[in-house]
Amino acid sequence: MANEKRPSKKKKNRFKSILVILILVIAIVVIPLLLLNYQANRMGLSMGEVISRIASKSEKDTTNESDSALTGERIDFLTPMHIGFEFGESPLISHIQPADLDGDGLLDVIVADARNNFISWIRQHPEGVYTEEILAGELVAPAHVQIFDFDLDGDPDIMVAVLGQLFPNNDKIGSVVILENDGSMNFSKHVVAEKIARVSDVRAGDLDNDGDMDLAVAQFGYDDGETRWLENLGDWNFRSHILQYLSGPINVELTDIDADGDLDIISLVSQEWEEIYCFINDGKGQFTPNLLFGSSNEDYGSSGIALSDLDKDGDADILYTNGDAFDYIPPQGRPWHGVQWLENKGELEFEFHRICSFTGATNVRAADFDNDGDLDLVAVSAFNIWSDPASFSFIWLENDGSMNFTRREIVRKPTHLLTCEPGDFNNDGLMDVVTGGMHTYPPYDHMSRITLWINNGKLSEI
Amino acid sequence: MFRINYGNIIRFLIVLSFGLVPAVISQLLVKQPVSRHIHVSNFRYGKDPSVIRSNRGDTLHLTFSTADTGHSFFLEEFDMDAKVSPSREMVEVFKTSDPTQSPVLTREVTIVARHPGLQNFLVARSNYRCHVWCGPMHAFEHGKLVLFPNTLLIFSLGCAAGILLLWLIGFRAGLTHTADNKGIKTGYVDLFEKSGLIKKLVTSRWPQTIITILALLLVYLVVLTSIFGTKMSGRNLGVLLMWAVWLFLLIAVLTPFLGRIWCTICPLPFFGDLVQRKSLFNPLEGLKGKYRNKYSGWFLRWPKALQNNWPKLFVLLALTTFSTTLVALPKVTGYAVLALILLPFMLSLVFELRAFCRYLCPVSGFVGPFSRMSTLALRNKSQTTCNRCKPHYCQNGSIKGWACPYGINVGEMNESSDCGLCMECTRSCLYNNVTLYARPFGNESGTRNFSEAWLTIGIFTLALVYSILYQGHWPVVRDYINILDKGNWGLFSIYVVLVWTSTLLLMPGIVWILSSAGTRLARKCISTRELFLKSAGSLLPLGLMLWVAFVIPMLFVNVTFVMQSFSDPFGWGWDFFGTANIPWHQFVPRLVPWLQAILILAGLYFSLRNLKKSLHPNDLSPSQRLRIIMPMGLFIAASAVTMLVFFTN
Repeated sequence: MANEKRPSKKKKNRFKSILVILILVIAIVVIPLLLLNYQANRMGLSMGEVISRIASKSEKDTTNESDSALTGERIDFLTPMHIGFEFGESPLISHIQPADLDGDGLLDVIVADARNNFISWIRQHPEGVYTEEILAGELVAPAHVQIFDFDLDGDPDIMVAVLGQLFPNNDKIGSVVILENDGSMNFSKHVVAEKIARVSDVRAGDLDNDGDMDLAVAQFGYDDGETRWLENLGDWNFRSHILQYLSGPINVELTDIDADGDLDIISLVSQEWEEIYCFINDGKGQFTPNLLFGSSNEDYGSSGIALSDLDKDGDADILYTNGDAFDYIPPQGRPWHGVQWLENKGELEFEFHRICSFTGATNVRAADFDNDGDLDLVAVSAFNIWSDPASFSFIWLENDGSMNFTRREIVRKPTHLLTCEPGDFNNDGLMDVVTGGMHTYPPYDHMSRITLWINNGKLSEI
Repeated sequence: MFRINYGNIIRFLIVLSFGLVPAVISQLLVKQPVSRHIHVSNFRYGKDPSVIRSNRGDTLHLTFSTADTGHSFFLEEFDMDAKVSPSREMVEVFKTSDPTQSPVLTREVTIVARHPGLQNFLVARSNYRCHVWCGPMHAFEHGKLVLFPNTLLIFSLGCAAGILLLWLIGFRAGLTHTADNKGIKTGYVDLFEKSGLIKKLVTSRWPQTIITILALLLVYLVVLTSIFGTKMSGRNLGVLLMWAVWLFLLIAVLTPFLGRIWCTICPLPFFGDLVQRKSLFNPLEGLKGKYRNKYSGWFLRWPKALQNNWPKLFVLLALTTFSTTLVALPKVTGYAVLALILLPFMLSLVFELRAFCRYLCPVSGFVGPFSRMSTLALRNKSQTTCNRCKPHYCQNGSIKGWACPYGINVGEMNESSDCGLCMECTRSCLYNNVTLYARPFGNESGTRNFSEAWLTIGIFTLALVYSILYQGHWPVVRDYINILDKGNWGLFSIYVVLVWTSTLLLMPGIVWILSSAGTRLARKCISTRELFLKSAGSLLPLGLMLWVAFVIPMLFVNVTFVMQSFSDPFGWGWDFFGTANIPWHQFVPRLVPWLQAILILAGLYFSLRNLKKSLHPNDLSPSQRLRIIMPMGLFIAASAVTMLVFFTN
């Protein structure tokens, strides 16, 4: 009897052990699968792609992209002139936007000044005379401006992304502000979103195809940033829709990337992600995320994107700089910083092209500076190694028409140039450039606030 | 039955009055408030001045600058968080109570050094911290604001004097405590006898297995989140679970009250046990050497020369040497935990029983000695039954239970440090002679051998080192451990030499010298070696309380981050519970120094008491006992006073 009992007890014992181990194994396998599946849905990737994205992450430069640009001789085709307010303390210009705000046929400059916490207008009137006036104050650390007729009343309004504090911070201190133009250049402030993670960019467009303008918002935050869009409900009321909770969004751009007749959102997410997403719109304001590019280098230092049909094939390509160095001691750039573009191959496929290394690169913009029919690039650096006299703050990349670029340096001083925008300021048919200086760390000996670089036509002569 | 011990109440009231009288008198010494202008320079990773001292009611005019990146001056007790940016004199001042309110832009922040209501008399120390992530060691950037009169400091020093005086009077009055650990169970309450439910829960394998598996899954989550989650340690669930939550629970809750209860559910030996036993439940019948169970693996004996606490001490020291890296770099935490799972498993293939837990585990190296202080102990019911038992089922296993994984014969066990509370002997003892006891705190005294004494002194020393390193206001100290972004390898090597030397040589040397002095004072009625072992053991209560005082702010400062990380465990932008983006607040910051002071006073009391009770009153006269332990007693008192000043001033 006892002998009969013993094997059954042994069996029972074994069964219990196997059961527990089975549960454990299932949990060990299922937990990561559930988490991966959740993340894959949020990123718009397959689980395999999520795994490969996670596995490829490293803190070293693993892009292995060599510069495609040749180095060319310097050509002095830009003549600098300081415009706007004089400055005493080191300037902190976070963004500038050329626009003919008053419709007088002359380009003006809208300035986001994070030192003095205002949005100002450097008005060109008459031609060649620039006078700065403050349009709206008490906007703590404005990061980006966009000139856009938001209320569709025929005059340009100003969308302002307000960080709330220039330096990294997790507090909910960001806001989205629209400066409504009454048509006579008097601007009323509408705070359309506040007490949110630091806002680094805001762009207007009709995202739900209902005829009014909505907003796409990048919120850098610090390690709790977000990307969202604000649905315009009329009368300056908005409904918020979170698109993504990743920290570090720097830019959002609106374009119909899938050519289906509605606006999609392209976003650059920096911090440890170093990714470019597009949020595909179904036309009704429902967005599906898609990862377009992700660096395997956690320290890539993404600093900005801009859309431009660089290869002139009829679709928007993405211009992309990496050069953020706020985190380092001292805050100086890294060798892998540079300028690149993502070629739109259609069907949401983008091909990465490294153009050139440029330590501390913060902004790149496209324009035809030499009037040869193709788009060249200008780029600035705020985090170059300024102790090295050979460090440039401003370069241009000459396009030979076949997307081969020649890097030509423009200037070494002023240093710490964060933002640049092209525009024909003197209506001479030549593209000029305006730059803004962000002097957050030493040296403070070659500072600039707003500099207008007038194209003297030397390039056309060559 | 609960009995009121009037003697203890009177002693407590005497100590309290020693603290209260000077604390009340000090309130009369408040100076006329003045205005002070203070410029605070911020840098990675500190503030200058790192200590601001002022009188209660002073008006402080604060200006700020930064030497490198953005920082902040976060002083929650005064509802201010001034954000300091490079190349800028203006600061943005936020309210810590509602950081979403628009900041005030100003060059100068003015605060009145005063707390509301009764707190004005009680709160003297506040920590100012940085609330802008400024680098991997950002969490350690802080300074302190100390207000005079410092009620807490005066109160706690008074109490310390009272404790010391009562201790000294105790010799004169001939007050004695239970003499040693050997088999005497004064104040022990048999929990199995008291509650059938406890007995059932302990002796059944199911509850333990289920909790162990849950713990294993939690460790798995720690590994996953640490390795694959965000590199921001303050937002990484793995790092926070390990170094804020688990460490706090282990040191402040589990060890003092339940001893090595963590080992009961520790998942680290899980796979090793499984491989050796091939069963999670009842033992397989068979023999393996002297053991009455069937085991797999090579089952070699651990080298005799290493059958002591030295390997544990060295592993613990190695781990603590790189503690900053472990905390600041989540991946390192993940790989370390992974190694702690793999190593026991691999050792169990080669060596018998739980070789890792017995001889290498840094956690057991830490909780082992402190478990002697705990209020829970596993012992036999009847020594006579044990004496009669020849097969030693507890040690060698039986058909009902596995052999003790720690190689212990319960009949010979008088100390808790080696027992991992795996509860196996409660099942294997066929005489039903093993039980769990609830007992008074700090019950065991002394140490048994040099390796145990060294380990005990080591963990006491590390409590001091850690407190100074992470909670001290000296930024230069943190430069010595900064191999992360400053790459101070030269300074770090000095730090390593200092820590290892002070743990292995300096502090044991001090205890030895004090023991030697004691024996000389008492004219050698006890050997220095014996006194050294006893003296080392007396450091345990104070050491434990110092550790608890250390981990309290580690958790309380990070509570918000723990809540955030539960919502977003990998820092991938999730928000499961809606807490991923809640603003940072410390948990009861005004209370923390009081808790720390009370803990140290308790540690002082128990350490002095244990030092005294480690000597047999029968063998020595009161004055001999006093002379023997006076040097060590004064050292314990001096250590406690130093740490009271450190934590409260």
